[in-house]
Amino acid sequence: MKYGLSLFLGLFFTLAWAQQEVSSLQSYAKQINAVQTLQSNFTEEKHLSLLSQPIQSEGTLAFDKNTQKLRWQYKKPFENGFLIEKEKVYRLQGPLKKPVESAMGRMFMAEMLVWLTLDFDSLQKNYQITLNGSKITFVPLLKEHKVVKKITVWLDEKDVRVVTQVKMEEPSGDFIVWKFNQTQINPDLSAEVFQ
Amino acid sequence: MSIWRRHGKLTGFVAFMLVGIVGVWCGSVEENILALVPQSIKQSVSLFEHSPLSQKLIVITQAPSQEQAQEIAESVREELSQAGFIKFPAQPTDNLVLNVLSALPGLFSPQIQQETEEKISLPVITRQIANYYEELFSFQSIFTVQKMAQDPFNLTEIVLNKWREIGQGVQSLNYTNGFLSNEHGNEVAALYDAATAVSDIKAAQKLQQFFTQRQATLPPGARTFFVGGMRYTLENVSLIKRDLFVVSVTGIICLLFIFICFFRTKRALLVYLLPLLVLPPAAWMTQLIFGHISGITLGFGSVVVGLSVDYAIYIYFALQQTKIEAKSAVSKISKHLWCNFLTSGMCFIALLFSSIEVFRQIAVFALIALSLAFFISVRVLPGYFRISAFSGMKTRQPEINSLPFRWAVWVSILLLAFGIWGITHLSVSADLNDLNSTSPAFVKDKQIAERLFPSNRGALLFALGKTPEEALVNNELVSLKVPHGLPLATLFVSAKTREGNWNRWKKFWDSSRQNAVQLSLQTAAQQKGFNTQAFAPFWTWLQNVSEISSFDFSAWYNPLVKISNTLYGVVNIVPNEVTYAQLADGKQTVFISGSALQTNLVRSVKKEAITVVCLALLLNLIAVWLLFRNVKETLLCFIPVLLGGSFLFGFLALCKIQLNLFGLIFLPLLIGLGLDYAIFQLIKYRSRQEEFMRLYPARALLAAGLSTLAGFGVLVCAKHAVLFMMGICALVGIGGTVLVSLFILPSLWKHGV
Repeated sequence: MKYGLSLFLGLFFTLAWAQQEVSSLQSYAKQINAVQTLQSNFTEEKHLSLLSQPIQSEGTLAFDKNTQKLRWQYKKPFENGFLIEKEKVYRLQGPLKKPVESAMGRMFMAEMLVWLTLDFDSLQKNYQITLNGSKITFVPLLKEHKVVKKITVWLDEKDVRVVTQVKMEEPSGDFIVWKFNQTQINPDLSAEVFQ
Repeated sequence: MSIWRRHGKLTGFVAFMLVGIVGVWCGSVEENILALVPQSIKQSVSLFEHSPLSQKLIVITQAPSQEQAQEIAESVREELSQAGFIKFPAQPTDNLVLNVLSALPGLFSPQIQQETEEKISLPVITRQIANYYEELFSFQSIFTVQKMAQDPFNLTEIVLNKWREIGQGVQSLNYTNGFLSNEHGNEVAALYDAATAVSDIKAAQKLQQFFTQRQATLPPGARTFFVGGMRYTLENVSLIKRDLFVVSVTGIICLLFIFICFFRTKRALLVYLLPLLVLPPAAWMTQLIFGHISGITLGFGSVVVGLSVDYAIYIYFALQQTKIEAKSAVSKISKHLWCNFLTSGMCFIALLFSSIEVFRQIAVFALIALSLAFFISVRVLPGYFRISAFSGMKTRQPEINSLPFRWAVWVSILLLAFGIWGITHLSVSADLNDLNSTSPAFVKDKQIAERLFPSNRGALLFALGKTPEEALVNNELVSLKVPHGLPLATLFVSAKTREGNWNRWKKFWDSSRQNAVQLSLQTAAQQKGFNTQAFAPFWTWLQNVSEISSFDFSAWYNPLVKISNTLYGVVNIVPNEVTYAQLADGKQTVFISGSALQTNLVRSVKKEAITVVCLALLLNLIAVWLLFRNVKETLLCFIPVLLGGSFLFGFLALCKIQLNLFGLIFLPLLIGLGLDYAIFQLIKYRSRQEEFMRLYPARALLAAGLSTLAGFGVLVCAKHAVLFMMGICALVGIGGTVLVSLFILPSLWKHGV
């Protein structure tokens, strides 16, 4: 009887917690969904087994949900990045802008849009999502995922629309950390930003 | 017993007809472009048909916008795959780098060795490592880090560059988002491997059904369809089936009309029974001789209907019109029928010497059918017509008057002038597609495909051999004669070359070189902050690499084709240039371009046409001379042929009808068949006695001519270009010959002989 009661209570609290997690995720999704434009600076830190030391780069990010435009621009130490304009994808190399023709490139960019909007409905199809306060963890449902082992996203506790940090761990043990700062939500973005 | 005696022969032929129907039903009816081309270019056409591209299914999508076209094309691809219509080649896997690298030792030719030496020189290593380092600061490095470790010298680039060289200089295709597209992107095409053989008619019909259903779901302005080998299969078979139906129905209606006009008796129905008795056995026996029968040969059945029915008509009218004793009348008219059979038969005998299989099939088919028709007409039918003849039906029918001599001469001159004008203005189509007939809708679809895949710049170079290995060896030998070699000869090597390459690889990567290169790499890598063990995967691979590649490149693209059990070929896609054309020896190496094929086809068909026509004319000239033993009459016999031919040429030019290659070779033959009517008239006027002249009433000739046109001329209703050409030549050419025989020839004969 004692064990039965413990089991019942255990199940009750687990279900209640899970229910709370789902409702929190839905609440976050609703707030994030309201973001129409976004602009931020970022630093990227790569911990690669290939290199003796981690490497760091800096850049900017601009996103317009309505026009489906995204600019991911590295500024230091090398200037490169990519630009998405609806179906079209360009690779930025210094002052050059080259179209990406491969289907793989398009698929990757489509995936980026899912992540930027934190489209939980889409992400749930491929990842097991766990919420811990303002920290969300994504573990691929595919056990032998070649690129991703785990992705952790930290949201700003004061404003969940703002992502402060993302960590992507790879099966090889390599990992990348992106830290976002000076993030502006729904700023007016001129067309020049995406030129 | 007496019934059997009276109807035994007819019953026997009816039984033979039924056997023929069953035989044809159980046999195979095949449609193959190879049966329509001369022997001299058969190999080229056959090889062309075996090229990897000809086996592809090409799916084209049109939409108002680029996005829509892309979306529809992608969903159609998905649905085609799910429905099992297409299969995909092996996709590049995550181990692409290792797969490509594993192929390198077997492909390690002196040229690739030289390129590898450059890649492992210190300056190039330093530059490569610097590039990799810079790439690590980009987003895409997430996907390329593994590749860097496995291939620090970027050796895979050497192999992949060879792949890019395939078809280089041939076409400038616009490849966007996984599809070939036009400049606006709203017309896209994709090439797939069909899951079934392109000649599988059932699969082609199912595919057509799929596209019809899919089309119904598309938004306004959007369209999706397929072209390629399967569409040809579908078009040819569907078109011939449709043509056979339309031609048969129209022919029957026309014959019914002629029956009402000229016969109107129950006994006369036997006249039209004759073709039914002879066609099935003739088709069956042709099928037995060739192992199959072409739809075009069956289509030619209508010609045989027209010719064979003539014999019965002449017998019928002869017995109706004369007061001579029936046996004597039949004996007299039989000689004439024998002449007719001889002249028609000579034309078909001449056709037997053609190297075009369909012509030989037609010749055999017609000779058997006409022989049977001749026998039945003179041995079986008179018994039935005689009964009717003696029951008081011998009513005199009014004669048809010929033109006055002066008029006849003027009309002849005008017809000759019309013919000369026609020959100078006649347009001849040398397009191979005119033999591989298609509907107007398909012609439009092909034009769209041609816009996306311009074929005029490319050509195929086949290196042949009795075995796959022999073909590969030959391809390597041919490659040596090309300034920069053939890319396929580098990527698909023979076993002997592979062994040589492997030995070269082992010798190249001896321990001293490995140590030296490892040191260079380490130096360059450490300068950029790479770990000392960063490139260990490459060195591990180098130690364990084996002679046999772990990856089969033919899964991506297989240029090695099986043409027959004893013939294989490597198909190189090369620019349509003299450099490559000169490599061909016609036996081991064959160069095929659309333009060269066209030129050869025209040359071969012209040669065939001259041979067949000369032979037909010569044989007929001998036959007619032996018949009349008179030069003037022999030449007069050819007047309807000459004027009928002039009328035909003039008519074709006037109506701007393009004479296709099939028509070119068939045309004089048809005119040759027109000799029959001239012989009819000349025999009639040679008969001194009035009663014998009555054996040849002009109405008989008119009824026979119209019956031939009803059988033969109705082919103009056909959509298949070959059948249409036969029909138009018959309608105008034979029609002209009949008119000349009726209205001009008698005047010229009376004046000249």
